Amino acid sequence: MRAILSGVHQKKGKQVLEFELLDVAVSLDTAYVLFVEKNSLASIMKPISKVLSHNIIRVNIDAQDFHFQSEDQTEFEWQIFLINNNLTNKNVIQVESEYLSDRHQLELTSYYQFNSDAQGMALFNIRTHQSDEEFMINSVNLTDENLEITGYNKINGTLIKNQRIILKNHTTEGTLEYPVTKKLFEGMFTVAIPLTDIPQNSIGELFIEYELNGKSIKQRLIISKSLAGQSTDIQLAGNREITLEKRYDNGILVKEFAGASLLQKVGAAGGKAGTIIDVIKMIQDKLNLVRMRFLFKSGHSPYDNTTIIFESFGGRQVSDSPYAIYKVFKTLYPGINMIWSIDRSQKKFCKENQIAYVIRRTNKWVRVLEKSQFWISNARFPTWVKKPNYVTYIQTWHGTPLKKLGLDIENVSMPGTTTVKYHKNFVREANRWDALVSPNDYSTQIFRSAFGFNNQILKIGYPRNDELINTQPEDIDAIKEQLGIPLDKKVVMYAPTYRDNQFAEKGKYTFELPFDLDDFRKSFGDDTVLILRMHYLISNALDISDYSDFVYDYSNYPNISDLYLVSDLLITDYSSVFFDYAYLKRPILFYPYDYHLYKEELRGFYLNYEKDLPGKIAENSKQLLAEINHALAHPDMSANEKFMNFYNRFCAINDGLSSLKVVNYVMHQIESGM
Amino acid sequence: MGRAIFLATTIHGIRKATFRRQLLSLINNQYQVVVLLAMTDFDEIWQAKREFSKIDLPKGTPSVRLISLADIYAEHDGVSLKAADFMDPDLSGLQTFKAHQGKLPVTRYIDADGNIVAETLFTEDNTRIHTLYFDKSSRISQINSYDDADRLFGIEKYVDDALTESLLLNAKGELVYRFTNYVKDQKVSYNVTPSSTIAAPQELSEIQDDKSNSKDEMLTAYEGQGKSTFTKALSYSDYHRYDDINAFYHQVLLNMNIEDARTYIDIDNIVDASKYLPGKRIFNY
Repeated sequence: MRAILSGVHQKKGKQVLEFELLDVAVSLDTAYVLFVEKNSLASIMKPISKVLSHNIIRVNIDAQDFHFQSEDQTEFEWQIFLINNNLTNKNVIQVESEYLSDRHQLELTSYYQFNSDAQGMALFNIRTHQSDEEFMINSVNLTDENLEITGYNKINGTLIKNQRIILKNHTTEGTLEYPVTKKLFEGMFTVAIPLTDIPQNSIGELFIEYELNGKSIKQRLIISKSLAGQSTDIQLAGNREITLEKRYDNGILVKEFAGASLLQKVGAAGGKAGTIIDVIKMIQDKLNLVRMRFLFKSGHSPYDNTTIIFESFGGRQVSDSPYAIYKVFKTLYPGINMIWSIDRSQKKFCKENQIAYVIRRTNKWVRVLEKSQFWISNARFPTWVKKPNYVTYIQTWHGTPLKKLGLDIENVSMPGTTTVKYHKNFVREANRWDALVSPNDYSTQIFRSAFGFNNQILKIGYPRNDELINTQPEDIDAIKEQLGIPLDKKVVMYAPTYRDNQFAEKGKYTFELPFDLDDFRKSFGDDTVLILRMHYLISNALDISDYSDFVYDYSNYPNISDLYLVSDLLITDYSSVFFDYAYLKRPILFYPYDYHLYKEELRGFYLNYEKDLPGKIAENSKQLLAEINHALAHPDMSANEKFMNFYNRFCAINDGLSSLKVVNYVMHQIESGM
Repeated sequence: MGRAIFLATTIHGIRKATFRRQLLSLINNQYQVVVLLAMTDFDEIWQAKREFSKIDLPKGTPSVRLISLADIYAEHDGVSLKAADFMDPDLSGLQTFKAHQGKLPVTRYIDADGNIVAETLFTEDNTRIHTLYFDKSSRISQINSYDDADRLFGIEKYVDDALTESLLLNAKGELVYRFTNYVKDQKVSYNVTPSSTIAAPQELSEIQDDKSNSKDEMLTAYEGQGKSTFTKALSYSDYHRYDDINAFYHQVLLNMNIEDARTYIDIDNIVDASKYLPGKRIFNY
């Protein structure tokens, strides 16, 4: 049996820990969780407060119980054990985790963090007696225009108010003050200091001022982790340069100075070499060495600079969770080398968005893939792609499963494979994933059974859905404007499943919507628009030219989340899009117009189509129009019991921090040298 | 001044470096420390006291109070011992042989057939520690344990050299607790890493798990032979029964009013002891 720490939730100032149990062979009636502190050997036993289905257990704790007066101890590291102890069985299982929680400030001078040790076991860390003159930030970066700082803006659940970042000049003692510029995630702040404000030839130090419970507090900004991965050096016009440095006491220094001249730079590169000829020779040698390494093909070794490969849908897109994670990395750790593995079709998008890429199935692609340290993908890599042992492979997957997957498909009828072979391949591939992102317990359970997956599940929600949670109403207006949708009109989104029987012959694509657009226009056309999100082959076959006043086809629009955000209602049939859309708590209608044909296939679904869906099923186009009418009049589903049952089951991880958690997971691996 | 109670259940526990470390730390922080020698094999108590006296505590440190279950239950009500409860042979007419066991004097009692019947061990200043009784095959069948005032406080009974039952007596020599050992089928398994604070007991053996296909699997699985020894306790004061000695220890600690005191338990026993201590912070050694 194995136990994995899979989640930590704050509840009224206390913490609820979730553990996922694998291969449970005994009853949990006499089981409990034991925490043992590594240095003092103190222990605390906590009974299981709840056993959820699918072998998830919950334990309630109060972090304040986990630190105490003991010599000069200020750091408490608790290992966690699941113990089942009765007259017939005694099992002691050390709890695993690669889960890294946010640092949670308990008081001004203490905080906790869930972590893992070098052997992948869970650690609950508490630090006390920290200086009340220091404020730990999350990241600091120099961008082309700003010095950007991110950090948490809550202390044990209490929001800190009126935050300002102070840049204090060491020489002149002068100070510059900057308010919070934008909210990055719920619970985090970002401050941007224009680089043009930083005085010439200065050394500055960063401070924060804020109010907490009516008290005004001023603290020095510190960062405990290294500055690796963050952008700490920038060249400005006029041969000026700004660098960020971490001081011995974790304080952050901002230095502005005249950049080196070209001659100086060459000299610096040469080090002790002395003459320019020596320098050129040394560079030639280095280049040659690189070429030699390539030519020898003596196996691959990892890049010196940490490199992350991103891939979405086998390179066919730059999208989904990998893209959400990529964007957070770009903001917080722009110094990390990040490369997208893409098909040629995505080249233009990458170029337009300054995204580094490598084209799949090229020599370079093999080399880059084999030399990088992290792969982040939402679908499987081909089995012939070899995963070196220094690679950490994070699989985000691409949706809460609706149709049966992998081992759960009892009879595989695909040409060229047998059920046994298919299952074996699935398990082999899945266990190359070092961590698999899961949006909810339902998916976790399916991933375990369908993929035979034995490694770490990061139950943190889907990074791609952060956007749905974090986007503000004013941002939605901006998206509408960008899409060309009138701000004063309601939006109905139609996103049906792609059916591969929809084409009679290659080249002869005709398709009609399963409801009458004239009827739609008659009923809603004045104040509602219809946006379509279909498979591209269908979209190409659609002729909506007569309805361009209210029908918009966004089938080729890259970011489906934008379409969710602008929609007041989703209509779908058997597509798993509704799992994502439900985060918005807006109405969803199901219109399975060919239910009689699809019924057989629905037996292969994990959900009961007629019972478990978060919205009504329209059986014909007349019913559909009536339901659209009703749904548009009831835009908020948060009071609908059936909907909220669904929401609580599938969308409960709604802190909007999923991408950040994956980023933190990767940074934790880098910091711990794995 | 804080208070701390060490629950010592084995001699080995007292020998541990962490025992001394924790003890010193408490003494340095002006804690009042009590060590409860709670072993139900009473013959270990005198040995535990000797081990404790070997701990090198700095000069001038306040004395640490050592108490045993006999001290705690000295004034509790009990029932008279029945003749069938224990052996009480008359040793007075037997031939005696005096010898030394280490530095401690020993007197052995020999019957007319030349068999050793009993053996009494004394401290250096001739205070009786225990008397061992032997069967015809010279195997120990009973040990009588005496306190510093030469009062019989415990009787331990053996079958095939294994302790099966121990009787705790009050100051009046009445039976207050009966502790019974029994062996039961119990499947024991530990899945821990080398750096785990809870180590797998030595009697378990490492097993190869076919399922763990991950090359960087850090957890090691250990399994036992399937048998474990349990100790039951029965009170003759209130007739409370405890199927598990750890439940009894929990009650003892409660009676000692531990609420404001730090409790220290042998970490090797924490898996069994913690079961009865939900929510409470325990300090281990």
